[in-house]
Amino acid sequence: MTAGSFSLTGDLLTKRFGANLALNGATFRVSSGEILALVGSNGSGKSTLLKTTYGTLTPDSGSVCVNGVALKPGSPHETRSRGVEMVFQDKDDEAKLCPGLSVVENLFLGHEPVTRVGMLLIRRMQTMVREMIDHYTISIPPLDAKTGHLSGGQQKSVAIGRALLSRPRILLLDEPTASLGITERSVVHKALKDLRASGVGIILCSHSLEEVMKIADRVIALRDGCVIAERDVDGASEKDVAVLMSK
Amino acid sequence: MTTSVEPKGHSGAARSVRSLSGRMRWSVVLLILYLAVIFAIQPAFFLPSNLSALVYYTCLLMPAVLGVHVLIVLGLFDLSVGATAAMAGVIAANAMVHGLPIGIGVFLAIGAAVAFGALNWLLVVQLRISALIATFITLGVAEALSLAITEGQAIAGLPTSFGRIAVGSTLTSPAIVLGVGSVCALEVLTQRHVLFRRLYQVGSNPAAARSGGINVKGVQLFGFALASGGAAVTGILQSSRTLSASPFVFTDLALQCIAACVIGGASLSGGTGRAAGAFFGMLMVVISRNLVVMAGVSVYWQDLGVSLVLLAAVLLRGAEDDGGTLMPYQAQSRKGKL
Repeated sequence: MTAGSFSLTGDLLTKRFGANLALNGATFRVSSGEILALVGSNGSGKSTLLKTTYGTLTPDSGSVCVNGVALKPGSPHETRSRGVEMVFQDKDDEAKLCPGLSVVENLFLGHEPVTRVGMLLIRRMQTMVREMIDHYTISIPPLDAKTGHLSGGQQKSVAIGRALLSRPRILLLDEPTASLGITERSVVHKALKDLRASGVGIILCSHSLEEVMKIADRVIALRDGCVIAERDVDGASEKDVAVLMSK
Repeated sequence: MTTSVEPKGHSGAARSVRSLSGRMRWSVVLLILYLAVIFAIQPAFFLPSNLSALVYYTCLLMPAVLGVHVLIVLGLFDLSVGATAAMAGVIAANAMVHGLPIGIGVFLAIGAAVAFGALNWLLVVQLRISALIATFITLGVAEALSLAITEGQAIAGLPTSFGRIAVGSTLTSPAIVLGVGSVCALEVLTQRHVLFRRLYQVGSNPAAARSGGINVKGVQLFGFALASGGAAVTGILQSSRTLSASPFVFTDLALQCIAACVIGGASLSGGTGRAAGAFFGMLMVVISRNLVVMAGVSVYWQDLGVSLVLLAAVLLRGAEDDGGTLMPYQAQSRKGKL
């Protein structure tokens, strides 16, 4: 962690769905310029932890803090305004794109800069995208391409680009590569590494141990909504991480 | 480090216009081919009086066509536009024969039609009844209202000043100015104005639009209101043209409008189509019907001409979508294709 860096912490987060305790006192911390991976089997609480952190779910107890200052629970709007963005899993509505529309239109969907009478500020949109690309040194498909004609990996880059437009310092990603092929995964992995290099802190929820070993700095293993282990990826083998999960 | 591959010198809007025009290109190609064939077999078609009458009638229908076009872009449609147009004509005429000023009659007619649009929205969006059933229900209600008001008779003897709205078939006729003007306005607004872009965003993927914070139901209400309001304007223009109103006009207007939009490049699955395409599409429909009359064939064959043009347009569009190779069988297998 470098001086003047940015941190996001979750403290003793719990969330119950009926009889099911999805999160049971989960605690984590991520700082700028690092990739924290969340691993665990289906139902271990990975997605719930991300959504509770972001605010699309309200925790029953516990708190989320940005640089030590608590966020209002259940408010994605406030979370975004404090520099934390999320890229949702493909099956979530929040992740969906409009296939018939251009990349630039999808990037700004619902948040277009307009004049007082509602005319679109197209040049400003292009400038904002260009500045975002320069700032994060990431790749975005051609702005005029129809999103429905892009590969899965490119569509994911658009979803990530959408999250980056507000210049977040921390990015939460829920299974960003789950539905992608090997080549497309590498597109997303490269984007994430570029983001880390530009100082963004990332929480990555993943099923793939190989992916975690390849790009993460630290890994947290979840089971039944509890953090059961945490360690640095550097120096660990895939087997070590698998052992963490089965502890 | 990687960079954007955004091409230099083209604004996003300009390029999106170009890509959209790809879809519409076929309707223009089809129109030109069609005119060439007509020239070969029926040169009298090109008499200025016939051409101006065709353009005039197309313009008179444009408000209704554009309303349906907006709904199709949203992935919806409305079978009741014909009945709404007839009802609007009847309401306006009825108000005038009862001594109300023309402006009040027009206002009441458009207001009643917009209320029908809101009713369609309530049934389709709020109560989740399929658009086919819901708008068939309102079609019945609008027809019944028209018949009840007129007791099945045409209303004649409207003030001659009312006839000025749709008078003449010259380029300066208010009907032509309104028709062409609304196409141009919608062309610009759907490219540049955020509310009209919302039509495409919601039509392309309502879930994505909703999660982007867009008021999807509000946009759909706007669409239904425009469709019914547009139909009312066409109904009023028709009444102005004939200085009468009948509950029996526009019985097949809805299907003609839908055909026009599809010929013009729209897809019933939503998210695509342009106002200019809908204009060319309606021109093709009007020409096809006119041609049957010009050729001296029984008018009972009129709809066959429209059907053949519709078939040609859908097959050619399949070619456009599949990268320009004529493979219509693929078009049929694609999701969302007609």
